[in-house]
Amino acid sequence: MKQLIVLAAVLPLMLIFMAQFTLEQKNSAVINALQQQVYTAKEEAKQQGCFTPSIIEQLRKDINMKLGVPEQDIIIIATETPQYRINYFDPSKERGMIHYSVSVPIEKIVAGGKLIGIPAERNKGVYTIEGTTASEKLPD
Amino acid sequence: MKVFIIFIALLIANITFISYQGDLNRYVRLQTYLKAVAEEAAAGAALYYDEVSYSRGSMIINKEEGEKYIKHLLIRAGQTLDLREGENLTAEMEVLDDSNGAADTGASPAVTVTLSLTVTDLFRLPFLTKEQVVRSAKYELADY
Repeated sequence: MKQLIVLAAVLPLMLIFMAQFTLEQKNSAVINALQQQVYTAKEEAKQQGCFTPSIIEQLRKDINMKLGVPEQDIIIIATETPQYRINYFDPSKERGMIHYSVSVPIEKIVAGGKLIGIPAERNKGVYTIEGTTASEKLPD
Repeated sequence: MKVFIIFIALLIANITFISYQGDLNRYVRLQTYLKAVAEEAAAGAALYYDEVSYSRGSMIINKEEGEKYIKHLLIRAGQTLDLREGENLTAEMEVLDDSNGAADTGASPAVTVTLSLTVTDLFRLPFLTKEQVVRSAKYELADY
C-alpha cells in the first residue's frame, strides 16, 4: 500500500517530463517551420521590392496551414512600399532596404503548468522573427 | 530509502535529458539563423558594384559599401541574439571579382561571408561544451 501511495505521488511528476519532451519537440518544430516560411517570403519580397499584399497573404496562409496558428493571431509588420536596388548602403537604412517582423503566439511553454503552479496566462509567449534585407528590384 | 534513491536517479536523468534537448534545439536554431544572416550578408554585399568599372566591361564589387551593409546586419543580429559581455559576432568577407582574377579564371564574381559567433557555453550540462558557431555563405553573380 505504501508503495502504491508513493507511486501515485511520483508518477505525475515523472509524466510531466515526458509531456515536456513532446512539447519541446513541438515548439521547436513550429519555430523551425516559421523560420523557413519567413525566409521564403523574404526571398520573394527581395525580388518584388517589398512585402506586397499577396506575399503577406501567402505568408499568413502558409503559417496557418503548416503551424496551425489562426491567421488573425499572426502579426506581420513589414515594408510595404516598393524599395529599389541602390548601389550604396544608405546609413538611414531606409532606401533600398526591406524590414520585416513576423510574430506568432506559442500557446504552451511548460507542460503541466497548472500542476506546478504556473497560470495559463503566464505559460505562453510570442516568437518573433525580424530582419532586414536589401531589395534587388530594379526601377521599371 | 531504495525507492527514494531510484526516484532521485530518475529525476536527475530526466532533468539532464530535458536540459540537453532544450539546449540542442537552441543550438540548431542558432545555426539556421546564422546561416540565414550569412546568406543575407553575402547577397547584400554582392549588390554593390563599381559602376565605372562596369561601364568598361568588368565587374568589381564595392567592398566598402558591402562592409557597411554587413556591419549593419551584424549589429541587428547581435541585438536579436542578445549577446552578453564577452560574447561577439564577427564577419569575414572574401570577394572574388575581376580585380582579383575572376575574369582570368572564367569564374563568376562572388562574395563569401563567414560568420563567427563566440558565446559562453551553449550547453548547460557540465560535460558538454560549445562556445563557437561558424557559418558561411557564398553568393555568386551568374550571367551578370
